[in-house]
Amino acid sequence: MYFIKEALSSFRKNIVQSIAAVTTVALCLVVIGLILMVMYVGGEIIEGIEKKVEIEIFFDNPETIQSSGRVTARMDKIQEIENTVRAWSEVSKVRYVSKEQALDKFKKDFQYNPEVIQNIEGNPLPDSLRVSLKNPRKVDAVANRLKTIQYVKDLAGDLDKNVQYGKDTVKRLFAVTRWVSIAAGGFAALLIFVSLVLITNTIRLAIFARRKEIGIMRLVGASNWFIRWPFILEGMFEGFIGAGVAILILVGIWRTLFTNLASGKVLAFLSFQIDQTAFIKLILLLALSGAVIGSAGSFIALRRFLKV
Amino acid sequence: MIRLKNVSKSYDGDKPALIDVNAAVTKGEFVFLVGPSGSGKSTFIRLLLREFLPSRGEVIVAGQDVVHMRSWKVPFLRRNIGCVFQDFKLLPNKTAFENVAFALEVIGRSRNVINTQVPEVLRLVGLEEKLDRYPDELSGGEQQRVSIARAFANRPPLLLADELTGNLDPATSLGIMTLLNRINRTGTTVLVATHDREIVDSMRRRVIALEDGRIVRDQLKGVYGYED
Repeated sequence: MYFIKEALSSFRKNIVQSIAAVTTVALCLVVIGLILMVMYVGGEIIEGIEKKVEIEIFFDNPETIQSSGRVTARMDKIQEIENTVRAWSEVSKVRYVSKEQALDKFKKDFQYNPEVIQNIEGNPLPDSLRVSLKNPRKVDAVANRLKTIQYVKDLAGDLDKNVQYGKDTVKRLFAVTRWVSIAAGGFAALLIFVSLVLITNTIRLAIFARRKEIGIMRLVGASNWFIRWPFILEGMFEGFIGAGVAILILVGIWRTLFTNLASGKVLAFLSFQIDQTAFIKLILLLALSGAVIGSAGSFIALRRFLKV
Repeated sequence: MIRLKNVSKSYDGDKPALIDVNAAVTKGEFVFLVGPSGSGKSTFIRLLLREFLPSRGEVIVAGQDVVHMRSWKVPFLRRNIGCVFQDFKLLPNKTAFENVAFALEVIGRSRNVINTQVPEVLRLVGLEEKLDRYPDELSGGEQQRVSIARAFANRPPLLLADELTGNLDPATSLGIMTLLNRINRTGTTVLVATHDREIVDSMRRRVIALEDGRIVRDQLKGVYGYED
């Protein structure tokens, strides 16, 4: 077809320029791809941490409740709370940890520091409920809601002390996540802009090389789209090849990273995995952005040229 | 075919190139547009092609209001106007045949139409033997014939020529004029902007004379004018 033929021949004629454009697109997309991969992995890690965010409700010991005159039937009430909270839509899991279980866990955590364990008399640890959330970002709201439950007030006494969820850690975590995404996004946007400018320049040169032809085309009444198509295709083509190169490089990086990971040399402590579908999505996204960057660049280059 | 009504055109900051021009050319006419360099001939032609808009006034070409035309329609206006220039504007990497074919290709004519129409129009301009020559293998007169063939290939009702003999010797120029005359006889309106006294005087057609952007004379069977 005419347009494709024209686009290809123009690509070949300005081969040096074309290669330059392809290379820049490829580089930009590699960096963008890496950013996306890192963001993905980072996201996985953060998600892992977020999953560990849970709200702990520590219950006063039976003796304390007795002596302060608060009502008994303690275990029933804890059971009641557990059932109520489990029914909330934000909550994914509620776990009862008895004081004995808590002590076992504590002993296990500190098994290499026997002196710590030795210093414990009896079992100072309280019974507790551990509430995990579907969306950890709602931890604040859920915690506040927990504090309004009458039985929690009855059994946990000092609410501020006994309803805990590492408030500051959670907040800092979310702040970091947000800033990292914003910074990476800004960097990616900058790179897209750079590749756009470079493609625009290449196409501008291609147009310049053919300005006589375009002049004649306009003179004899070729429609603007007819004139535009070959250049848009050329830009798209360059963007596409650039994306292809970028994808190959990224696959290479991915492979080496994972062979090393599998053999446990690098980053072995991070047990993350980029699964196949996410990677295919990434590839498609890059190919698409290559084509979009290419055609958009051409369009910008042509805009001024085709003003009637 | 062409009507200009109170048309003025000034470029930024310059003195006006056309001042209050009124002119009408009917279908099938052959008109010379004469005047010294800078008198506004080229501006006149380029207004008809809608390369730009007049500062004031009305321009009607082939029944279409050029001033209020939407820009996407401009290419279709130009398909009705053949155009020839002093510098030929041929593509050096295409043969005579391909140059003419190109003009038809880009307005979407089919291969079939092109293959019959291009040899025909090149025969009309007397180049049937030189279809495969590149522009630099042709003389100036022959190149201008190719460019006329290209302008006429789509059989436009209007043919504009801007100083088309400017680069040619007198004998060749006369040959080109004969060719335009022949094209005119097929019913095509022809407008030739020139300051070539000899060809205007030899043809004795309608003459519109421009001076400093104003029409100073419009006569049938005219001559170039008074001694400079």
